[in-house]
Amino acid sequence: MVLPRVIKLIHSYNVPLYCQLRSASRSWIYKGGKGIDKGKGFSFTYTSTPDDKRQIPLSQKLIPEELESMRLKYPEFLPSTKPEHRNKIKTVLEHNDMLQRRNNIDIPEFYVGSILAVTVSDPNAAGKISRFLGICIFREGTGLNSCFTLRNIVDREGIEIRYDLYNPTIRSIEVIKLEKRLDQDLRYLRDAEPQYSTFPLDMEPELRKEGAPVPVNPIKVKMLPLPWSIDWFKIRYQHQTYGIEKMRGVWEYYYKRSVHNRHHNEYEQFDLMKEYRSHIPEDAQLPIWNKLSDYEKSTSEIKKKARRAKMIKR
Amino acid sequence: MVRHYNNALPRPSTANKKLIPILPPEVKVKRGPISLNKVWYRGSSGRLIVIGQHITQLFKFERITLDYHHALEVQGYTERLITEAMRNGDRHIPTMELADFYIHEKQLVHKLFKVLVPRYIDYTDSFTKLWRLSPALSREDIITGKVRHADKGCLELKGNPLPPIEPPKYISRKSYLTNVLLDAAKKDFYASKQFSDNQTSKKKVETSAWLENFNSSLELISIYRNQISDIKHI
Amino acid sequence: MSAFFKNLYNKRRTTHPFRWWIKRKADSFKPELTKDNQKFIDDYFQTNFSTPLIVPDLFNKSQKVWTPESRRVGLIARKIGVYPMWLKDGQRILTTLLQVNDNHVIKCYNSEQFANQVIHQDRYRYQGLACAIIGAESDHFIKYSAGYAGLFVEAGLPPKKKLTKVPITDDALLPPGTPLYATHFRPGDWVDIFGLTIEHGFQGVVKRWDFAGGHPINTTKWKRRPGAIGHGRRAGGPHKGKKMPGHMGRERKTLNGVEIMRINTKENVIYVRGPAVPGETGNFCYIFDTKIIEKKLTEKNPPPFPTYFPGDNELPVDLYHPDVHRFEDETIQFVETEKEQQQRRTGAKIAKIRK
Repeated sequence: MVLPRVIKLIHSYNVPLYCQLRSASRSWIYKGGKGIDKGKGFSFTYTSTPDDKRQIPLSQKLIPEELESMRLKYPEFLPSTKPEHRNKIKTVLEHNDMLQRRNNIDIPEFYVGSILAVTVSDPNAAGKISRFLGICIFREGTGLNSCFTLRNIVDREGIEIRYDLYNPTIRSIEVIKLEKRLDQDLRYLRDAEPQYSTFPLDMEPELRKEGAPVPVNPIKVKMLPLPWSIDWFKIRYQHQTYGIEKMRGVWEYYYKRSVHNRHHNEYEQFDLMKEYRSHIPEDAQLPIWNKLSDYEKSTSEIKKKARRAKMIKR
Repeated sequence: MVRHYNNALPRPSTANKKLIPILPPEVKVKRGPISLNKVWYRGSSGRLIVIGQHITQLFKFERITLDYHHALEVQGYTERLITEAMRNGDRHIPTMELADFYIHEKQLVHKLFKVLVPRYIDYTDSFTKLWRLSPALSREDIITGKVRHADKGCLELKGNPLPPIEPPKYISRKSYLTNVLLDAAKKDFYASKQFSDNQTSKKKVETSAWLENFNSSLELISIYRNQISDIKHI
Repeated sequence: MSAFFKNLYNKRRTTHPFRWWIKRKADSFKPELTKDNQKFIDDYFQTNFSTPLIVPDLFNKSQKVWTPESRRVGLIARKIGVYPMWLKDGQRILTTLLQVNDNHVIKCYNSEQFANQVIHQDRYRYQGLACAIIGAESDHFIKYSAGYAGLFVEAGLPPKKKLTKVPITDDALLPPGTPLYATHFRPGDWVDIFGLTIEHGFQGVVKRWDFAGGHPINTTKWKRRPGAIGHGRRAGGPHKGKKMPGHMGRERKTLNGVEIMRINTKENVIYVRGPAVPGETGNFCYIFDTKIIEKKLTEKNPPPFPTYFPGDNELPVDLYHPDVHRFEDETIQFVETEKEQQQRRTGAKIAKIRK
């Protein structure tokens, strides 16, 4: 069969199914700045095909109330906010590894400001086991890179240890006191009075009712006199620190200095697109929580059977 | 291009603070903010004031012409403003502050909550539309063949009472040359032996084992693609 | 001319492709087609270009014996991301993911045919070697010009986004249309990777060449500058190859001696140790066997030659390096040796006596 010549001039339209193979080359990946492989542009879309259009109007919430608790229990399952580090297939492989690790250890729900105890198998310790207790200061990372730091004062010396959540040397993570604080970032405890970061290593866990809301601790921390290691009031570091007691003279000094800074934006709270770029939208969160709810249902049956087997043995 | 910022300390992640709906794919959001080249404002705080001026004019006249790249930015801010107003309502204090900041004429704040919100309640697509206008070329530019990318764009709110920019299209494409020629070639192809052989022999084991695997892998690919579309992100 | 200056002349980075390459893109003309005609083009594409041609006789003959002098084909992959993993000691390592997507062999040249194509300067480098053309990531033929799409008609394949020429020995020739999978390599193999590096733009001397610069506080007007350039007028000015500010990045660089830790056979992903693979995510990488003598392949552990052909036995989804800790295994626990137990007891006794 001989086709006419006109087919040379025809240009693209919807690429058929068998060409859309499992590839990393979807439209939202950045294709290089200068050079030969210049892409047409960057379209900030999480859904690249027209079949995935939204059917519920934008005025209504997508995520149902049952799944809203998942947002707080599994925050590391969300991808990173930088589009350069994102890829569909990488997250699928990463989620599979994370769920396999969760079959072997219970990783509980905790927040910044809650007290944890971590036991780790250590080759250099006596008995090859070491246990540390402390308050959670900071939490960062996405996926297998997620980590948290614990702070405590032992023998009049402040110690901070950073742990990876998915490290296979961790034997157990216990939550001793579940609570929240007014800030997401408690690193100012380094320059605060030592009473706010001492906790006895023998602390017993606190009983908590299931389904009860998480309490918020409205403490205002007293700081030691200047000089500090970091200017905790600096607005570029953190927009506002709600958990520090205001000191006379210091607040106004730092606030005035930062206003004249070139990089200071006094209307940052009104910047809507900056907020959009630093969040992950609902349409991208929903399928993750659906997948995790299926995982929870499947594992809850296994755990029930294990509990029954234990009771029968006794 | 890699840009390095002097962040002394890393910040905690903000991906989970708030539930925001996705901007529809018609709205093109660039990776970083575009600078509006105006001389009288300074910094990122002044940039938001200029965007507020464009938004007040948009709400007033419902169709404005701007530089194309400026209109891309304004499009994102308007859609976000309207969704916040739809979800939170009239009595929520932070949304009132937002509307107060972006809209410089106070009559239009009432228009936002009382006219635009009920207009767009059932929408699943975007609320605005960006048209790309041809550049204003001079006679010398046309002769020498100097063509620049479109400089101007026209932003409008959907459902406006003005006459439409483009008339509704219904032109039959059957009389186009390409379609006429393809229709002729189509008959030969579908009647040929090649097409019928391929239809029957799609799942046959003809030559060797790896060919079978290749054909079956195409089916697996289509199945896996449906699984990936469920996950639908990144 | 010394070898140092020769390397500086060969540096090449331009925005236009070579002039002897075929024009790739189709003309930007977009007519509007009816739906029936759209379906017709899809069917035509599927009948003629979806299943590649293969001759069964060549398939059986191509299972040949590997020798340490033979050189086999490589792969084109895309960098997906970076990902931590842990070893059985408890050590944490970073791994990059490289996805091998839709690789096929498009054409092969013998050593005689290839010798006629080689440039005069490269005749010693490719002496006695044959050539294979590999492509990655198939795409619809309507986006490309007729000349470019005609390269793939012989193999019966859809056109590809990326092509390379690979020098191989005559042992490893393959018929056009053979697919290449990630199991071409195995965990434990050592591998070379090259690709284009990250784009930095026009950069100064401190970032580009690691110059020291000046003191940031106690100086005025001399903080990030190079300083002296030459030896005066008699020397004829600054010599060729002087390190100065300029464009940095977007060059071809190779990473030699990289170990493979894990392979995912379902999605053809290779996990490679280290985060230093050149380029950003979404960048093309070219993977081959090493040239390092200590890490080369040996006769005791021969690789699948010329490539991996899938047979009746299905492989497991994940293949691991023996040192790597799998996430499905239990937590790592360390066992005390007898020496350490004795030391602990004697230490406790001594502490009691001191008290």
